[in-house]
Amino acid sequence: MLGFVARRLGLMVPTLFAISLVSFAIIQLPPGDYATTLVSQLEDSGQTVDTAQLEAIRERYGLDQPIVVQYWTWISNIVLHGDFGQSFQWNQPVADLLSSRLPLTIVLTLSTVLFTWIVAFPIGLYSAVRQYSWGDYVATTVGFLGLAIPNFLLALGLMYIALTVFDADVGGLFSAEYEEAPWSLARFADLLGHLWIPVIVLGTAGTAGLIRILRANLLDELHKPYVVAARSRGLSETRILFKYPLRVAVSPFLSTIGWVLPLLVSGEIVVSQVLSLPTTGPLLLRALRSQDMYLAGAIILLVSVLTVVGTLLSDILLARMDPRVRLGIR
Amino acid sequence: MTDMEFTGSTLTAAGPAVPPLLELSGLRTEFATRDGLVRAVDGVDLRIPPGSTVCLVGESGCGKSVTARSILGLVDPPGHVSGGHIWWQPPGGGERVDLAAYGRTDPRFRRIRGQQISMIFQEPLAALSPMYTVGDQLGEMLRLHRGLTKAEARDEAIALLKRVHIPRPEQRVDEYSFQLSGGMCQRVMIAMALSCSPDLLIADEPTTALDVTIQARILDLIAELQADTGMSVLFITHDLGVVAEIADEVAVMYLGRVVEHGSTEQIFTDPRHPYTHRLLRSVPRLGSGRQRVLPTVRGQVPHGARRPSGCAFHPRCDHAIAGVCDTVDPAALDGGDGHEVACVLYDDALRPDGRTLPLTVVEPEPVAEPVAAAVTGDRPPLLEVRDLRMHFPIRHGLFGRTTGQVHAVDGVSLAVRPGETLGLVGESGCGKTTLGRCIVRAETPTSGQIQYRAGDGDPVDVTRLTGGALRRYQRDVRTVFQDPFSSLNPRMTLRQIIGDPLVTHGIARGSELTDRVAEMLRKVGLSPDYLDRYPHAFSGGQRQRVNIARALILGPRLVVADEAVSALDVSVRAQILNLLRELQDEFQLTYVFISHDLSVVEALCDRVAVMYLGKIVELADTATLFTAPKHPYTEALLSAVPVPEPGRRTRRTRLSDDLPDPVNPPAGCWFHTRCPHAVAGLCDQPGRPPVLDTVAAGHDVACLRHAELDLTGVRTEM
Amino acid sequence: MTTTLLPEDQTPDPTPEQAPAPADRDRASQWRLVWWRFRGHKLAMAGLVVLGGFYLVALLASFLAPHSTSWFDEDYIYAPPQLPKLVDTSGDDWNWGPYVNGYTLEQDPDTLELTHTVDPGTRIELGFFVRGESYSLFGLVDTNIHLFGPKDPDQPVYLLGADHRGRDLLSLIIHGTRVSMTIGLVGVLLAFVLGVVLGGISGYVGGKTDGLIQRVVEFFMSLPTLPLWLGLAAALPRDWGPLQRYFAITVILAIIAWTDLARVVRGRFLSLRTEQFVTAARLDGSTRRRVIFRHMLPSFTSHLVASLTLSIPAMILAETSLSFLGLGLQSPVVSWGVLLEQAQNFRAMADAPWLLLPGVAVVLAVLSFNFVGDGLRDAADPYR
Repeated sequence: MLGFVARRLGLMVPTLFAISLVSFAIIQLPPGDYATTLVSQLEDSGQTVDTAQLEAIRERYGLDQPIVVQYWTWISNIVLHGDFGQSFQWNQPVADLLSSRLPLTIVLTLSTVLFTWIVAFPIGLYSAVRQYSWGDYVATTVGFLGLAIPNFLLALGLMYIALTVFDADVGGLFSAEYEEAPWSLARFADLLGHLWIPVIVLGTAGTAGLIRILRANLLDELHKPYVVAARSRGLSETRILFKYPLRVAVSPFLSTIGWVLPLLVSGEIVVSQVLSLPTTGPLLLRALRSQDMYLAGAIILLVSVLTVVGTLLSDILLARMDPRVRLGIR
Repeated sequence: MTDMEFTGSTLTAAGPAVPPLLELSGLRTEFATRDGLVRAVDGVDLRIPPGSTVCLVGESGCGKSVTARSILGLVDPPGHVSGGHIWWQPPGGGERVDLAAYGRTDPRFRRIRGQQISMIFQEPLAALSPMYTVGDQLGEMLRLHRGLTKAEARDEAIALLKRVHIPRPEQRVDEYSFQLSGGMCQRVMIAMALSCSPDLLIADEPTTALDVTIQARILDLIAELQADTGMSVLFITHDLGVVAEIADEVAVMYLGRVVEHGSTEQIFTDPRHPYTHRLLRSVPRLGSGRQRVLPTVRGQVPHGARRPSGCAFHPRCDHAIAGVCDTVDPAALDGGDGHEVACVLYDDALRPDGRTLPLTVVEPEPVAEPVAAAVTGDRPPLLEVRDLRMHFPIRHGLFGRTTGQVHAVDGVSLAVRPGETLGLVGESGCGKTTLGRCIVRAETPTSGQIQYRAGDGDPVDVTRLTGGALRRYQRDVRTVFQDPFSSLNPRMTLRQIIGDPLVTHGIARGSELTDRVAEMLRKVGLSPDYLDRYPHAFSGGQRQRVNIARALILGPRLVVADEAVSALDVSVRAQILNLLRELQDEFQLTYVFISHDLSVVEALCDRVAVMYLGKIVELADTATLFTAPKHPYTEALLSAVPVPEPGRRTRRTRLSDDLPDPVNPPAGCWFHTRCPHAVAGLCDQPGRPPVLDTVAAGHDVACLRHAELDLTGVRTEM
Repeated sequence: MTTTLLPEDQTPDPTPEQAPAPADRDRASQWRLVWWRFRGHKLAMAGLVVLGGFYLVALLASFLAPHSTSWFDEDYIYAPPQLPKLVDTSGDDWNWGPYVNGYTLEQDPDTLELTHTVDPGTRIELGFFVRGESYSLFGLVDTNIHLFGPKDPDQPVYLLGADHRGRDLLSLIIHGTRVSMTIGLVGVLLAFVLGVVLGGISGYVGGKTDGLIQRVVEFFMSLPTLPLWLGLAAALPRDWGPLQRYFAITVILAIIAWTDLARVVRGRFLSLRTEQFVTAARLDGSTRRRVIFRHMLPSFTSHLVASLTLSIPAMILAETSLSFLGLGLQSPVVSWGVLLEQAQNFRAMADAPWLLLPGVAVVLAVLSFNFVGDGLRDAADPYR
């Protein structure tokens, strides 16, 4: 088991390195560098730029250095000092901007993963065991729809219904009075009260996918010889189902975090934008629109790293569950 | 064959002395398929007396497995038991219960499954869950049915593993199924089945997926446990040898019905149903020598949805009575001695005048050929293998580091003489297939030479051929593959499949190609009308004919047939073997025939090489090897083969089924870990591995003790 | 008979009623068998019909739509949908012929906002093959005939309502079909080329090359895709024209989507490599090229087509999301995603919920692709 974790961690290193390269590339993609962008910003607002000031900025970020050195400066600042650079649009360190929003993104994503599992598991189970029943047909139909409706459309639809039927504004994660308040039990309760809509919106596609996967896997497993053998040994139907095929079918279920997590992180951006949540998504969009590239790069980097870490955790969980993975048998 | 007349009255009447443990009456199990309703089990009557072994025998698709599963309600949808009764007499007296009345998930079934009736399956590895240790699955049953605590269950599980002779049970109990060999898994399954001392064990082809040596050990184990516990066994198999070995009673099934039922003695010495007759005769018997022509059964088992009317066997029957057999559904007739047969020939009311019983055999007895007549030892060999090695690296981890090597073929030398049939035998994993693949250059060997003599010219080293020279070689040396299903591209017509070699070698195209392919189809016994059909239109036997046609279309000199008949049913197998012999005579072919089935090898081959862990351990002409083997491994292989003659049940040499790891073979003689004749201090010495020595003309053996050992082969009695 | 209960060739089939005569089956090629099986999936067939309809609309968009994309009427901003009617019963006689009701304009006295309401009293006659704006069909025929429209071209007809500039939403959705339904196809084709080449190399060559390509695939699959797309899309030069942008977006979509296809192709190659008929083809003297193209490729094209079909919906959804966020295609290009961007304005959506209608088209198209893809996947291996 330890060997497995070590192997898996070793695999992560090149992935993380590649992610940092991609993020840095995105920072570098737009024409011009940070200094020229700053100049045009300042000029737009009618200020003049001091050449000496400009040189100071160039020096600080190493903009006159070769690209490799720039990358090194950038990544070493992040790893060693937690310094993600400066957002010129907000005129604040990127780290400060993210410190309040990133935790909320994580809370939202994790809640959604949990929601997805809690909903998909019993439905997928039912759907497979009672194949071709009415419930199965309903679950399958809902599954198809869940995969076909873009989540922002779902968000819009929910908002429209909330607005017209319940006359309620459902945007945001906090009510107005708690928005700037320090953390307290009441604020947490308020968060929970708001969290469910984005969780449903965000979780629908993943839930639909998981239901389909669990159902298909379970249907495969239900007719395997070892199930027949277990039945021939006089085990009860529930015991057979829960001990044998389900255990095998759950393995791919766990490993789906690998694709559910990237999906959720992607979806979070769109949904948060529509529901105006105080998470990293809308911040990333704003940063990209105004080419505030240090901010954008930092968000892409962090979100990708978190995804990879989540996938790693799910792999370890999977190895705990499945001896074949743990012992390296394919 | 005895001359016992079927009189019905002179035989002693079998009284219903002991009520049967299990009685099937009129059992029907149906499947809804795309071709309509298939009655896989169509009115089966069967009784299993207490304490006896009843064998249910038949070719694939005849419904024997479904019958077994129906008893325990294990038939999954779309199949279901649709009629009849399954009367079960619970132990310790009490009312008989009808299991057919229980639904498949009926809770009442749970008291019977595993406790009163247990079952073992064909694929032991697949029948164990890979997610739990062996001990966990075994312990689960003990806790559930015998109410043991977790600790007690573990101790009992270890005791049970010991009882089924699993070495080091304290370790095995914590291992997973995929860490065990097939034979070990089957032992675990048996341990599980026996854990609650059942009254009936249903064994559904439990040894079919295993090597003969392992099969022999498993059969011994079942017999031993049966003697201990007094349970009954319902044993399902297609192998008449196994039947003769273990059965007290035999029921022969054909297309969902029992067509004949009697004691083992009755079935083997006085078979009554024409199908039983043909079945018994189409099996090559070990010890009957090389045979010119094997008796066959015409045609093949029809699809379940196209069951012929009347007696289902009549289209293939030599004794069919027109107007009777195709209309009358024969009922089971009891000869008064408990020997039942479902055939109108035995019904005095329906049998036409002039037909006499017992049935007379239409074709001549199998002709034994003079030993090694066809082989010309003086001509130079067609192909000479010299110190051939094929090593496969084992890769581990992310970057594919090589951590070891499997020595699939490890220093093999051997000559193939023109016109002969050379057999290659051994357990699975012994390297016989890899050797074959090296000869046809499907693999490039790691080292060694294969000298091939084309025409009268100098021999060329095949292992170094590339490009055009290799293609020319591959015209001369062709393969017939094992699996009739995966060896034919399902997306091509027969014209394309058989004609493709002609195109790639630039020999023929267009109408000439069509003519050649049609001619080849006729030669292998298929109609030229099949040219534009796809493989899915054909049965296993027909596909194997296509395979042969593809091999022969290039006019080869040497054909390597790798387990070419192993996937076929006995009746079809004999047809294909006969075809191979005919074609050999017609085209003066040389065969390298790879098989695990020693009786087939004996019937077909001139010389036989026995392989163990990548090495040849013995090589001799067939008669010598089978009657007077010099290597203990050959002796053990021969004695493991069950012979379809109940009278020849003997105590045998048994090999342990704990195979050495091919990556780290044992020191000294590689066979010494399993060898009953091994001597410590001699056979296990690293410095002195045995080499292949010539001990007599044409007889090579690799054994350190061959001179002092007196080994027994199979008895020849013709 | 190994693990299955049924004897060979007796596996149940979902199409009992479609089973063709055995003799036909024997001579049926792979594609006919696939088609016979596909035919049995009712949902997949329905999906196929809907998709056919969508592409027909895309092909004939200018003819089917009453207006072009640039047409607008500022007097009718956010005009609600009109219900087309067949018969007018308001008068004494029944007046047959399709028509819609006109609008009345009201101004809120406080906010000065204009609102339109459908006025049952007025009547605008609709006609088929009416003359309207001129366009060029397939770039060949110049004409001004539209399938339907108001008989008097100056009358306002908004069957699905109007947007913030007074454009006809129905016409916009019809024109948007072109971009939305093709961007998935083009993107998938690009991804297909990448996936087949890399997956094929990986599967056929094996060894170290395979290991390297597999790591790259795993890397791409572990990334959250949308932030990447966004980053790349945001970096596109602002001055690029609509066509350049269109292709840039398809390339971006393809860069991310090829991984799935590469995995499918690799998996198929690996499993096929061990099939005996491939070995047989090699021993029959086929060259490596012939083995690949004549024996291996035909064996998984059906699986490939199914995978391709199943990856198109993801592309459509991705384009829609990108455009919705304003980082994908941009006006004047019309796609369903671009149209939905208007709904991001929350007040506008509350007042004019019909702006969500392009979403219905998206859902319908994605559902159909999923159905067809599922049907194809089930039918892809008719020999199982």
